[in-house]
Amino acid sequence: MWPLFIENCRYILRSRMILLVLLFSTLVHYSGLKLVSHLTLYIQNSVTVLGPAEMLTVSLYLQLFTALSIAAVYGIWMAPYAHKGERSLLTHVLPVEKIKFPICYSFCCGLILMINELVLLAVFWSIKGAQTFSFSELPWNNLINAFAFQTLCLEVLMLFLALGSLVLGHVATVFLGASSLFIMQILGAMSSLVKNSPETPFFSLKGLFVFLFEKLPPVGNFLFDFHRVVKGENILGSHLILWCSWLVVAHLLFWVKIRYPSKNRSTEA
Amino acid sequence: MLDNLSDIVFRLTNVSVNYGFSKAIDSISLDLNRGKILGLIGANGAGKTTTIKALLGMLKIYKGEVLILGEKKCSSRVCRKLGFAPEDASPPEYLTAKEYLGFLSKYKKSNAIDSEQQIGEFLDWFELDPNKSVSKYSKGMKRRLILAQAFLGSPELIILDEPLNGLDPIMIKKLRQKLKEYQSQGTSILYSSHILSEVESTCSDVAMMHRGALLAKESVETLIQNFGGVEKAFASRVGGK
Repeated sequence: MWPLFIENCRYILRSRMILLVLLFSTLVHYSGLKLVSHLTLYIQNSVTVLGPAEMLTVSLYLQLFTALSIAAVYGIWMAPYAHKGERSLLTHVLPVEKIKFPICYSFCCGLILMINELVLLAVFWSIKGAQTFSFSELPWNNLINAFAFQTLCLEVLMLFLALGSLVLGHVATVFLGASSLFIMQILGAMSSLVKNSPETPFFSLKGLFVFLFEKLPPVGNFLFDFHRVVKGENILGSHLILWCSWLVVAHLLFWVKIRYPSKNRSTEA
Repeated sequence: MLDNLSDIVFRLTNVSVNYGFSKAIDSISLDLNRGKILGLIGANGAGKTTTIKALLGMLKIYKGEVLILGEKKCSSRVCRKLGFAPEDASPPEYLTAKEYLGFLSKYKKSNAIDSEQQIGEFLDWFELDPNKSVSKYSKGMKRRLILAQAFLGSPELIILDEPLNGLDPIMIKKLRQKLKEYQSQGTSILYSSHILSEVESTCSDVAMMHRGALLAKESVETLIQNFGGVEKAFASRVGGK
């Protein structure tokens, strides 16, 4: 799989993805952190200036935006590149097991997300200085856990967007992906309302809805789970298992999709 | 089924492929022996490309069986011994020709030093600029690169789908020589084309397709003896259909 990984890294470099990620991330992180560093909170006559740990927490939320954009761009445009149109025929006869393609894309996406995270740390360093990078000043464990959790979730998203791009095309996937995230949030709220109402029997339409919804990737809970990780609390084990399961499912679905590169509904014969 | 199976490079048995509710190819039975060049001829829409895609496992087969290089599906093991040049494909545009062939050679069975040498020879032979990005290649150059990658790594079976599209007459002549050279080394070649004169001068056998069905498979010699050439044979077979 090594040559495939190298080839994909080359694609990421030559498509200027890395350059854009560096510029975009630096811009977002720098402007965000600079703004936060000048922030003074006045609450009930007490004055609070944000410390390094609080600043980092804010910047972690800022980098979610850049990370989400990276996963979306990589999933919709870059991962499907070798599997679209006539090029997919050449990819199909590459002597590589098909399951290695989604695995390779996950590694590559993980690599870009890591670069995004490194940019965040570099910007933080440039603003707050090297002395803040000590174990006493920063919650390193929480930070690493937050990065790992975010990478897991965004890789699931990336693979589903790549799958959508292969099946429906780029444009439809952009809109469908955004709509799905929105709908999942609403369904999440509905699900918690239904679940919390005591009179919902399991064998009912509402009960079935809650049961099925809880098997989907917990997108609606992502921000809450992320917040817990950043604060050093344990997130629900079931959510972590769900994300890991959906990562496996996404890999398998991608593998199934690329097994037959030509559709049995073409006009050519 | 009396043929020696070890001598058969691929065999399609009663293979049918549907596009929606219509049959793209219907009960095709076709095989290719080692060291032969089989021309697959037919008009546009006859089912040549679909037959190739069915052979390579790119389409779901409605019924029938495929045997390719000793296996029932085109696995990565099979792909290592296979060269394929699709009709319209473009290589990855962010690579140079040398990088593209270098990447492929890592997956083919030849060792690193051999492949380095072979890549150099192929780039010269196909008259390709090694360090120019594929995105800057003309259509004809991309076509030559696609053909070059099909020959890489001494494959046992080469499948060429309309290989002459976009090639100049000098390259067509050179390609004919290359195919003969590979054939003499024991490589089997499936050559799909609708340029019948070229098929006659290149291939040892010809399979004729029409509207998704296989009309006949004969040696070129037989067709020349009985009909006076592949073109006349094809016209007489298809003319009445």
